[in-house]
Amino acid sequence: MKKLLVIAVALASVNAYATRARVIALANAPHLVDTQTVYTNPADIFGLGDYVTLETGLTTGTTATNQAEGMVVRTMGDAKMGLSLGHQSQNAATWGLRTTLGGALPGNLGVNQQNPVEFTYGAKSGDMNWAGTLVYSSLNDKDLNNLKESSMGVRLGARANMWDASLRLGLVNTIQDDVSGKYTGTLGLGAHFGYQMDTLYWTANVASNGYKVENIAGTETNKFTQTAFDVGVMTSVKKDGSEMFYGASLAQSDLKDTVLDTKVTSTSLPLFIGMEVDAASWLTLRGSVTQTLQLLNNDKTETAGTATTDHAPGYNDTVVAAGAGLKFNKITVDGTLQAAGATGSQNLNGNSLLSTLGMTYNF
Amino acid sequence: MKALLFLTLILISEATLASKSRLTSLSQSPHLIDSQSVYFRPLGVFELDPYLALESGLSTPVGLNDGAEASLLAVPATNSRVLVSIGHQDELIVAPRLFLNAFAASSLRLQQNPVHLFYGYKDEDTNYVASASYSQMNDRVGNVTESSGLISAGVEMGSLQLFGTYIVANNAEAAGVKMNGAGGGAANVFYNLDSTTFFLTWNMTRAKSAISEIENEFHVAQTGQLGFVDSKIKEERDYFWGGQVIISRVDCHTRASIDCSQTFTRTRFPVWFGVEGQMEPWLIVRASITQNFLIDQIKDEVGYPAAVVPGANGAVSDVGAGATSTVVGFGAGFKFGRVLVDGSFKAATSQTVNQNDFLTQSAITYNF
Repeated sequence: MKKLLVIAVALASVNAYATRARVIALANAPHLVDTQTVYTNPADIFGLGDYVTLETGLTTGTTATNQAEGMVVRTMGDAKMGLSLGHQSQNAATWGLRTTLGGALPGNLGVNQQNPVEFTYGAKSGDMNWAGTLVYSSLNDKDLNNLKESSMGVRLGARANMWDASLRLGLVNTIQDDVSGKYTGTLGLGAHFGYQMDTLYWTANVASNGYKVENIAGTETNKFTQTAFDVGVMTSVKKDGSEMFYGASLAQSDLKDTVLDTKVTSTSLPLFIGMEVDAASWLTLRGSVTQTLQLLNNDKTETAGTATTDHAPGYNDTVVAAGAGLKFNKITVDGTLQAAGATGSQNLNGNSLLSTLGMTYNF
Repeated sequence: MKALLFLTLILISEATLASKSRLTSLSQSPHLIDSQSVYFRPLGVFELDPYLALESGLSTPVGLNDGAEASLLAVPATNSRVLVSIGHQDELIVAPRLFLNAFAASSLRLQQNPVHLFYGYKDEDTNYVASASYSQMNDRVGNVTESSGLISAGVEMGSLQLFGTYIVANNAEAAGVKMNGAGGGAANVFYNLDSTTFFLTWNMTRAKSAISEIENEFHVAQTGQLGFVDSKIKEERDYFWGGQVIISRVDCHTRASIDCSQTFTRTRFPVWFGVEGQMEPWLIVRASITQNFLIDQIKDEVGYPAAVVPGANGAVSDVGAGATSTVVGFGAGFKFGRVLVDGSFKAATSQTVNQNDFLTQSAITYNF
């Protein structure tokens, strides 16, 4: 069994020096271990070897997938260290926690982490690998109404033969200026546990975070809390350098803003199926589909006790994602095939070939 | 004969783990068996190897063929097949909704997160298949709902295939318009004789809607097809040609809340020919052409809009020979080991293959 698992991990790592594009093309499946999952479980650096990864994108990104970032990971004796530049934590981004249920944060408060830096250190301990990451960002613009932004967080992760776990703590998350007021994040907590039982991989995730926004007079304009959990199971079939996987999860979330008197709840049962294939010595092709099972696809938004949206079950959300990885010796260039995805155009042409481009160099 | 048929099937199956673009490129020829044709020839699952097919498209489709979807065929035992599909918009369900949206300016939604499940069983010389599909959505604040249910069953005995589909439920509501399309269905017969496939198909859909419980539209559409396709495999290339008589009829029972007893009828005789061949180990090229031949009689007593009923022109009409109908399909499949990437060349309609008009309806199929 152990031998099979080692082989399985080895097969996974053939394609694992991949990028944001790989994660998107493979439906963010929970069993993936690659240069992007390191940001969730730092111990994943032990499944990858030494590398440099670069993700194309904007200097001031607007979504989780269009921000420029990069990371280098090197072995130092029995330990490994990593340095990441530019990666935006979900809890400190305008597409994540730095927005309100009523819209963008007021004035200039709607900024992402500014020049975020992450330092990772990990080591082996018997059959277990562990690692920790320290996250930091700051900004002080005296010319723009003394706009200040700062964030600090810690991620801890461990991975053993049959299980993996991670813990993410958001310690500091503040934005303020002299005109718009102050945004203060509460202690953010995220935890994950995964367990391999025979051919099934079980996962559980829980997250809890929040923030408050005060105007310049000190009056609270937002007080937000969020809790979410999901449990899931999946399996994968590996054969001849290719992998096909499928799974499902049960997800539930509650978002609440007591000042806006708005509450959003959702419960869903998303399914996913995906594949990753070594199509040629220089080419890896990937694809996946996700869709929520309508037996459980409910969401409701209430403001002042009145439902403003209430879906039971909700609208179509089928998403097909596809991508390719081009391998040139130690370098892999990944991209998503823009024909697919949430705004899929069905077209594969010069304008819609590779997007979300990333490159990884394997030392 | 059996050995020849078996060899034919092997040659076909290399190229058949294909997609919407394959059907488009080959003029929807009824002899095709692949990951898309299984929706109207489900007994074809016994001729396909296990696969995962992903079709690119929109999460919120507005038509029959522009949505994202995927299907997975598994072989749990040597004599059984299981096919699961998500996202596929079924024509029998969606066509009446599109009809009412275009004709009566309603805003009914298509199927939302549909799921299809097929099960096939082989018993000595007879193959059986049964399937069911389901979709549902309920927006309680916007009062927008939809639900659908389809069941079908079929049997294959030697060269003869029979299967039928029944629409158990087809409901949709939006902006005060309630639609009920239950009770329609389809019946198909396919017979293989040497290299020729003969087919007889019939389908019926009901587009019935009401506003404030008062019926405002009720139209019943029926289509019958009788035809043949001759397909010859030579040197890994499939050359095929065929013809069919298509008789379409739409009976108007209620139009704009007023009783109606007019009909639309159309009789036409399209012919087509095409080729599909593996030109290189990594390249499959497909091309076809279809056109009505001699017969295209249209009698429209209602004046259905062109967007609603093929052949209609928005006015009461009696046409002896319809408008030009030549359509060229052109596409390719790129093979990388077990993976096939398909697409239709936009040159088929634009005459240009360039960076902007390369592949449409792209899809990836993995054969495992």
